[in-house]
Amino acid sequence: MAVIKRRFRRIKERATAAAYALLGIIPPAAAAESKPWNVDASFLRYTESGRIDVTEPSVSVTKPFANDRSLGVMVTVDSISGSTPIGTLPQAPGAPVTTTSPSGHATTSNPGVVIPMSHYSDTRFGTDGSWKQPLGFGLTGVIGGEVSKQSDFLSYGGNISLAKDFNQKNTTVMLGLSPEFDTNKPHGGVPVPLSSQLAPTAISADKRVIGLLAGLTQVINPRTLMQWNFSQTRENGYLTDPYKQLSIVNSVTGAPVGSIYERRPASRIGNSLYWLTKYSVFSHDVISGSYRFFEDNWGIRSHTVDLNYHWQFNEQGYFEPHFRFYHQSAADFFNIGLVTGQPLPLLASADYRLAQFNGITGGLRYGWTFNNGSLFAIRLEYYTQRGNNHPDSAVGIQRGFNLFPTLQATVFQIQYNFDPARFARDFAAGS
Amino acid sequence: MTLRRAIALLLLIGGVAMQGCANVKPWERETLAEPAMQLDSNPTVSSCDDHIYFSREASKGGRGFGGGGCGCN
Repeated sequence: MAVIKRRFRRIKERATAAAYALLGIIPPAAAAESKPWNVDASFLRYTESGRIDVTEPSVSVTKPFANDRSLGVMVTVDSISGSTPIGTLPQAPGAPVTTTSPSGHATTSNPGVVIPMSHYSDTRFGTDGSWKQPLGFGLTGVIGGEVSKQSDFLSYGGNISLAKDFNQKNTTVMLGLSPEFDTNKPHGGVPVPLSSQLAPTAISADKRVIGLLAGLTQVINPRTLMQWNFSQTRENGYLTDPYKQLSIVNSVTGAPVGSIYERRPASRIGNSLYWLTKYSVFSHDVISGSYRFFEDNWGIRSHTVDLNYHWQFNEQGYFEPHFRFYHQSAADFFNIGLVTGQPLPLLASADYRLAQFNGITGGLRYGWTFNNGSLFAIRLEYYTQRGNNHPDSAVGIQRGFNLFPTLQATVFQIQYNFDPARFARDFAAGS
Repeated sequence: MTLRRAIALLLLIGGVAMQGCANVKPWERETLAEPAMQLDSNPTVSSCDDHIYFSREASKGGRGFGGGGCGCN
């Protein structure tokens, strides 16, 4: 009886294999075995001119399992150091400086006024993991979690999403939910908002975030793909930056007479709409273009346009020029500073990231695939942020100062992507 | 532009794009299967960029969830 059962199983296996071969499909189990591990190692250096430097190595590993399941794990470390604007206004105009060149030629220049900065140094450790699981009926579920820790901040987050394929996989609808719990532990304690009081009111303050995501992906034709996403982020709790302050200046002279800590609302709802188009041109080149509209109940509205061209110049190498434009309006409670003799507002922040500004990014990425399948890539990008240097609300001497110095940053990244099993085999064969 | 106008505009674009939709068969997906044609063709770069812009700008979300997990903003 057992022999008959084994024979029957063998015949069934052969028939299934023959059916897969006839249809030109790789059987699921074989497909999983042939799918390699993937390790993506990256080193990123973000450098702001005269401000913050960030060094960020990261490793991300994806392990596929049978039946299209996969596990992804990522570990990263950020080393941050440098100076960041406090939010206060300059004290006095910069004195003219006379410099003498080696040839003896003297030039006098006014270096301008330096925006007050505070030195900052920290290390962030972050890790996240996710599990992807097909659930049948064209449904795929992803569940994940993340932890991030730095000396004054701790964050736990999770995410769950469901995607459903329709119309022979030409249409995919996705729904997702992402809760996050953050604890802010500012050095020196949580300052009293809108006060110059240094004595803290508490050691820590919490924030809760819920992210919702709904997406639609549509294959338009064999060369074009589009995606539309709507996402909503709801934040509640301590949303103030504990290190940012505002100046109080003399209403006539504009000279700073003191400063207070900022205060933001205790809740925020942000909505974003995202549209991505990918279009394949020539044989293997791809144009990607996306637009994002964002608005929140703090009065911020933004537009982001992102363009990328993947130029596959031969079978192994490619270049990717990248351009991004960003514009945001100011938060309702953004204020460059307060003036004496006026009542304190309920909310106020002079954080330049809540001001109106434009951000422009230009960059180039180069990638090369080696014969063993591993991929090396390097990219260099330049990011600038320009805002209103001389806002109308400035008074007295502040009118003569550049109150939004242009932010200039470079991003340098090296990436190496490989299959560790193949790497080990090649290494053993080579040795 | 308000969120409603943005939704209306994207629905219009989506509607027009859908008119040109072809029912692409599995054997016509060679180009769509290429790495550069994937929605997120380089998750590591996307994740780094999201982190940079999230910490220097006031907007969040779009490509994915709008959370942060970082004290930089």
